[in-house]
Amino acid sequence: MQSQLKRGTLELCVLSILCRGDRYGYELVNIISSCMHITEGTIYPLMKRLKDAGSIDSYIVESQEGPPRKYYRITDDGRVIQKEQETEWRSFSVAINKLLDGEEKQ
Amino acid sequence: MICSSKTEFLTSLRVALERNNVTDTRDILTDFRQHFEDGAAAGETEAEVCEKLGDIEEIIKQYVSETDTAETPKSAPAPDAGMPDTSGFGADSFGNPAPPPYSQPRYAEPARFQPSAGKIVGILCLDVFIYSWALPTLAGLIVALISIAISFSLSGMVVFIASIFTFFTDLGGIIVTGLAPLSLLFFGLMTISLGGMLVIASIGSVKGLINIFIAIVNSHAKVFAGHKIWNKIGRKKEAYDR
Repeated sequence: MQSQLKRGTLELCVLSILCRGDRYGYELVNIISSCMHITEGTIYPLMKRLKDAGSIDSYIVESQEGPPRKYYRITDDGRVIQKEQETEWRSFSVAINKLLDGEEKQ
Repeated sequence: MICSSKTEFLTSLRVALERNNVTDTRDILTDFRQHFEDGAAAGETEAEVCEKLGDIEEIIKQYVSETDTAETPKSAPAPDAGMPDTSGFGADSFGNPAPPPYSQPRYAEPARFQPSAGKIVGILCLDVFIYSWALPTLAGLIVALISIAISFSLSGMVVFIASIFTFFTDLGGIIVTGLAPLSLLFFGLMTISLGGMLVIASIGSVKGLINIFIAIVNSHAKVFAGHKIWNKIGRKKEAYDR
């Protein structure tokens, strides 16, 4: 499953999490890895790709203890892409589940 | 390669990023450094964070393929134009452009480290000197220092306590003898503080000896494997900060 599918869905996951609020890297990685097995280090290249594509944005928050922390935030473009991908994923998974369960029309 | 420490991970990552000409190396390293710090704050060890982050080469491949797709944005031919679509899900499902058809993989394999014979002979000669003379001498000096520190501290305490007892027993007797225990008391205090200084000095020299040992191990690792394996104690700051 190291294919386009996994990469694409991971992107949808990140965008969906960011839709619900801004997150910093470690937090984001933990949310995703609590749900599925990922190589955590590959989230950061994904974040860079999303940022370069303009779907997300980042800003620095100074903290009292420790160094400043980088937060990621979804952009308006990102929200549009997230909606598109979510619709696509939902109909796709319904279709796959039907096929797996043998519920397709004969 | 899975690393076991933060410094090792960041160093290997930097080397790999530079080898593959990935841009924004500094930003990327800052992200991962932050990840380690957050992991530590959450109670994870550096080794645990490393293991979960995964293989550095795997991460690098993601950065490299990311640059590849960015270079050929939407110009990749549609899958129905005769290009076999390996994923089977269409080029643009979930917003991913299809991989560029004929691009050579830009990912460069890590160069295998070749130990040099000259350096090995050199370090073995140095070993003979270190283990036959330098280390035993140094260790002997430190053991002597520690024993002096302990005896000074203990004898000081004994004199100090003894002086207090004589002081109290003499209270009911002749007053003149009160001066002798007083001098004894100060003598005891002086000996204790001398002992204290020697204890601090021995702690410092033991730390130094451990760091020398780590440096020896690291220099061997560098000659035989190409990179350091241990961090010196008492060095919290990053080994590099570019």
